[in-house]
Formats: sequence, structure tokens, C-alpha cells
Amino acid sequence: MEDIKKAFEIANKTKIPLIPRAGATSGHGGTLVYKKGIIVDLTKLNRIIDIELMDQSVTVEPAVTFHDLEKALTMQSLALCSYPSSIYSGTIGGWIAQGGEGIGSLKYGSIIDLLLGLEVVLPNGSVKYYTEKEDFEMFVGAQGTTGIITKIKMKFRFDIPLKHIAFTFDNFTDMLKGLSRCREVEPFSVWFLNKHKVDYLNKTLGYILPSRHLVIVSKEISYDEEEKEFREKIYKIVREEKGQLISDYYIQGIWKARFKIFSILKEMDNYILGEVSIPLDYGAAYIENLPKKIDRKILIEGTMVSFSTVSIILNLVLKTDQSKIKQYKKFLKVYKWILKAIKIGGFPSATGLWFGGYYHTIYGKEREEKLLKFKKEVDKNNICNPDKVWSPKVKQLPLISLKTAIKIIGGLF
Amino acid sequence: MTNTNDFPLSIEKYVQQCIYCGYCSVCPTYKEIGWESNHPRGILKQIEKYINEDTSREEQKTLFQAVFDCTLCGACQNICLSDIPIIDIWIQMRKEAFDKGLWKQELVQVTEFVKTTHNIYGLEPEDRLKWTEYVNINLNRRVKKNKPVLFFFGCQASYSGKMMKIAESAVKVLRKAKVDFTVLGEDEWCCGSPIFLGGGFDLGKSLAKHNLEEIKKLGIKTLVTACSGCYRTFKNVYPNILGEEWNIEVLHFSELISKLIKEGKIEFKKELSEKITYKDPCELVRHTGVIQAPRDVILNIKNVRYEELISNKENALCCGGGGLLKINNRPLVEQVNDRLMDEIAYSEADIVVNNCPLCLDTISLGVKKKNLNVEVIDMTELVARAMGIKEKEEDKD
Repeated sequence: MEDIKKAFEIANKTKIPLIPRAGATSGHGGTLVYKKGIIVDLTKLNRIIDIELMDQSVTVEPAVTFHDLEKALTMQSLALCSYPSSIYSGTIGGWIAQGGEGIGSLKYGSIIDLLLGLEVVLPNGSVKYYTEKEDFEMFVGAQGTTGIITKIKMKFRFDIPLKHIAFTFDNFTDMLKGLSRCREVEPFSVWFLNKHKVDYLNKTLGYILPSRHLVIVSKEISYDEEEKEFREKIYKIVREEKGQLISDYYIQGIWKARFKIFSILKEMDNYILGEVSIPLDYGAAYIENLPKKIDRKILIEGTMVSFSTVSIILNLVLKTDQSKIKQYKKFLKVYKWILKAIKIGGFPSATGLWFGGYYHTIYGKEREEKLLKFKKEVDKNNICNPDKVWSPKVKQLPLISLKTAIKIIGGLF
Repeated sequence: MTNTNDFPLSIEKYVQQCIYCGYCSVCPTYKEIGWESNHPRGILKQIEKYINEDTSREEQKTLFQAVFDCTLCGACQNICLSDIPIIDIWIQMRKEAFDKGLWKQELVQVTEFVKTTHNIYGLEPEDRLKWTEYVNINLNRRVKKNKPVLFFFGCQASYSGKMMKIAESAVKVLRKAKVDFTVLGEDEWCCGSPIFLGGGFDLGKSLAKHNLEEIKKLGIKTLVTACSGCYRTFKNVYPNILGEEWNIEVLHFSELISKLIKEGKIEFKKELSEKITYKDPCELVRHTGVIQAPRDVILNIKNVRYEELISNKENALCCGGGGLLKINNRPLVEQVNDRLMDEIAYSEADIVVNNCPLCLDTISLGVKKKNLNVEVIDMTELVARAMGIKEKEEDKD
């Protein structure tokens, strides 16, 4: 902690930015540097300090990975409440900074709902310990712009085994209608893959999944009667929403493979990835219009993050013989399509580097104003991971922001 | 700067394949060291720079130190989303380190020992079966005979007092199971495992050629070993080095026992009341995919009380002893080992069974350091116990 305080002292004196970094999974570009500065490598802050059974909390340092925490919890028959798909490298601190929602969020909420305490070194050098949700909001999704987290106290769950049921749909409209009714079974997670992604998984990883849109619903089950009830309810929903139940046999191994699903990228010479959260009600029209607008097959993987919102990862496979210009055009089309989600009440999954300026679409205008006020209070010299959350100015054209520049260029195509 | 043509692997292609997901942060030595320069992702980035740009002596030192501060356990490669052959790249870089004269003195010494005495300890070649005298076993009728099966002891079981039990138990089990086997005696040369892991391909190849020659002379069809390092070398490296000439079936001791149990040729007569856990050696579980056979053997013991470690099978933790780390950075071995000790303690097992002499040594040291009340034994010893073979059984061959 003294080192971090010292680093801020030097940064404030020299006006050199500090960029916190640990897992550096690069998913949303939160750790990418836009302005030259000093990387503060927090990797060594990786201790699991305490697991407290009485108040069901665990205290960790920010660079503990979800994988390591899961192992430590397993030793005490405990488990993570929710976690990212990058479990092996994703760190707790990093997930807070990017405003994590993921597997298990449907039941236990996003990272902010799990937090009980946050120790932070603020850019002005002071050290604070926060315990209230409104204070957590100044750090969750703030991409490390408001301070460096040094300690986290958060909830865990008891390790109740998960049971999975899988079913398929012929079209997205039916599938999303089916998903909207999943609330009835109080699931731990709802995970889905579109037909193109299923086909790709079959082809590249050797699965034998039916070539349709696939949904896997998981629920914590403690006893046989509970499982029976879960199955009956799901069967009813699936029948009523024109879905098709599939044998457990088909999904053997696929749940375990949820962390390695990105390995299909190695089969693609070139690809574009984007992540966006969309409201369930408009989701079907949004997704079914995608290929027409982008004129390529899009691989989609999604997770329900609330009973009204799904977070989807769009994966566009590019042709190998395409020129760089054509590839950039495709990228801009995907980018524009993510922005289109905002118009229907959706939002990018994190601001990161590319969606600076869209914080309000994720957390609302009021929270953005509060965050900005807080940032100005604690970071007068703007030295803590600058140019994240709020869109930076284009270096060559300092009059316009990166957000505007991308919009203008995107409009040309 | 090195010309990429100098590397048999297309390292440049592979380093570009990295998508920086960071999954390889499961690396046990990175977890202890904590610097990005020791993260497999970071090492790949350094290699990319080493290949494409001029790097300073200091940068090269950091890079080569990082590729040697690795147990080659394969956890990173196992989880890599881009399927990058990380271990092969590291070994290639170790060879590069040798060419640049950056090997540690201790590694040079081991290589010299192997070159002159054909074992890693620099002991007399004719003493390879000296251990038999200490345990009153007579192998004279089995040395270099025309038999279908060869039992390959490996340097550690042959020369190390701590590992002698492996050799003794293996011989007793094979005899009792009536396996028609031979041994090479002083013509058993080091399989070359540590040499290959250090990147010494030329010396390694000469050892491989010698062993193949001896094996061919005796008309051997199947090679059995209880050492997972030797097993990986025979299974993965020899076919690459020797090509089609290497047409020998290679079995790990636990695979052979599992097979003999299925064929009804071995029966576990004795019940073992102790709670048992099994530590998968990296070289078996991730390098060669031997996962089920050892479990089949253990689960065949009457009324066995068996429990998996928290991290098991493909996700097994490394003991810290592999990849020549004991030679290159001994304190790091202990740090890595501590995590495994926590899992062993949690299992509350009375016996930790292992399948690798190197792991056996490292785990034993960890258990002693942490003062754990657990016995560490090799699979050969467990099988001997389960078969009811007495420690001082009369020698009948």
C-alpha cells in the first residue's frame, strides 16, 4: 500500500499517468494504455487473506484470480457466487474495474451485489475503506480511473451442486420467449449458443450438439425432489415455447468447456469480437437482423445477466482473402451494430477503450455525474488511468473525441 | 538476434498466435514470482522481441532465466486457448541458451555426467544394479536376456538410495505376476530426459540410439518403466528423434498393472486400511495422457479409501521438481511445492501415492518441511503392498 501511495505521489508531482494492471485479459482494453504512463503491476497482490464462515465473506487482494479463489473456497465446501468466463486469468480487482457480470449473476447479481468492503488508495494518496453500495459505484465499472483497489471483501455461496438441462429452438424469437420464462425455475445461470456457434463447436471441437439454437439452464439442486420439480417446470416451459429438450448425453463436457469456448478462435484466420447487453424483449429482432446487416454468419454466445437482459458475444469470422480496408469496414459495422443496441435499451458490456463515452448507457446519467464529480475530487491531475470511461481526444485531431471520430468514420460505410 | 530459420519450430508463427487471454497465469512458477516477464504470455512476447529485434544482454538474461524458471509441467499448454506448443518452444529456447553459453554450471555438469557415465549422478556405469545387493535381490538371470518385456529402471531408481524402493518393489511385483522381463544392467543408459529438457538434442539422440540398439539386440517388444520422466521420453521424444525405427510399445508401470488386473494375472490380496490419495505426475497426466490407469490400480485394492486431491487429473498441481528447476532454481521448487502441500494436508490422506521418482522426492521434502503426518510412496510400492508382498520376502527368480 505504501508503494502505491508513493507511486501516486510521484505521478501527481510529475503528471505522469498511472495505469493499474493485473490479469490483463485485454477483453475490453481496460489495461491498454492510451496515453504514455507508468503501468502499476498489481500481480503480487494475490493473497487470499481470510475466509469468514460466520458472515459468509472472503477477503482477498485484487490480483487473486477467480480460479485460485474458487479452489480455496472448494476446500471449505464453498463456491463463487458469480464469475467471468475468463476464470483462469480474470482477477477480482479487474472484474470490479470493468463492472463484471457473468456466470451466476442471474442468481447472485453482478460484482457490485457481492461486495461487502473495498479498500482503495485514491489518486490523492489517501486510503479509504468503503462498505456502502453507493461508494462501491465509484469503483465498479470505473476502469481503475478513481483509484487502486488494494483489498476486497465479498460474498461467497455454499457449494450446492449444479444440475443442467439443455434444450434447443429453431428460431431466436421462440428461444428468447423461452428465456424470459426462466425466472420461474430460479436458475443459477442460463447460457445459450446460436446455431452457427453450435455448428462451429461441432466442427472444431468435435461435439455432437444438435444443429439448432442451444440453451443450457443450470440450477443449484440440494435434493432429489428439488431436481424433479426443476425438470418438470423446465419441460413445461420448453413445450409451451416450442422448444425441444435434448438428452443430458449431448451436453456432457460442454458445461466444463465453457471456459475454453474461445479456443475456437484458433481455427479462424481472422475474426472480430464484440460484446453487448440487450433487453430480452427486443433481443430477437436485434439478433435476427444481424446477419442481414453484416452479411456474414455471426457466431453468438450469450448469458442471461438478469431476467430482462442478455449479454451476448458476437463473433464474426472474416474471410482470409479480405483486404485490410474491408476488414476495418466489417469491424465498424459490428461496432455500429453494438451502438444500435443502445437505441433499444441495451449497452456495451464495459466502457474499456472502445466504448469510452458510453458509461451512462450502462449505469445511467446520474451515476455518471456522480462518478465524474468524485473523479475530479480525488484525482485533480487526472493521472489515474486517464482516457478511460470518458472518451479521449483523438491525438491527431485534438478537437474531436475518439467516440465522435469512430461515429463519423462508421457513418461513411 | 537469431535467424528464425535456426529454430526447427515455427516459433514466430506461434508467438503471433497468442491472444493474450492470460489463461496461462495458472503457471505455478509465475504464481510465485509474479512478474509478467515470467508469465508464459510475457515470455512469448520476449521471444517475439528476441527473434525480431536486437535485444540487450540484460534482456536476453531475463528471457533465458524465465524459460529455465519453469517446471515444464504443461499447465499453461494444457489450458492455452490458441494451442501454442509452449513446452516445445521453451525447450527450443533452452537450446538457444546453450548455444549462447547461458546454461547454468550445474546443468553443464549433469550433461557432462550423462555424457561420460550415462547416468545423471556421474556414478560408475557398472554400479547400475548395485542396489540389488542392498536388498538381497539377484537379477543375474534377467540381465540382457532375449525376452518380450524390458523393465527400464531409470537413473533415479537405480542410483538414488531414496528411490531404491521403487526398483525393488517393481521387480518383486513383476516376478510375482510372472512377467517375462529382462533388464539392461550397465547397458541401460540414461533415457536422456534431463538432456532433452535442457535442449541438448545431440547428446540426447546418441543416448536414444544406444538404448534402441540394446533393445533391438534382445528382440524386446514392450518397454515398461516406473519413471514418468523416462516414460515421457520414450513415448514422446524417441519417436521424434528416431523415427520409425522406434517401434517399441511403451507402458508405464501403472498401465501394465492395470492391464494385468484386467487379465486376471494380478490379484490384490491385502486390504489397506489407510486413506489414499494420488498425485498425478505432470509428465503422465498432461504430457502423455495417462490418467485412468493409476486410478484403476488404486481402486482395485480391497475396501480402498480413496480421495482425489482438489486439483487432479489434467488440472493437477505441479510438485515443483520438474523441468530441471531443481538444478536451476531450488528455492522456487519449495515455493511451488507449498501449494501442493496445502492440498495434500486438506485431503487428510494417510498415504500419497505417486508415479514419478522426482515427484516422490519433492513431495517427501515438502511433507517433511510442513511436518505433515502422511506417508509418500510410489505406485510400485503400493502395488507390492496390495499384493501382500512382504518387505523382506525371500528372493526367488
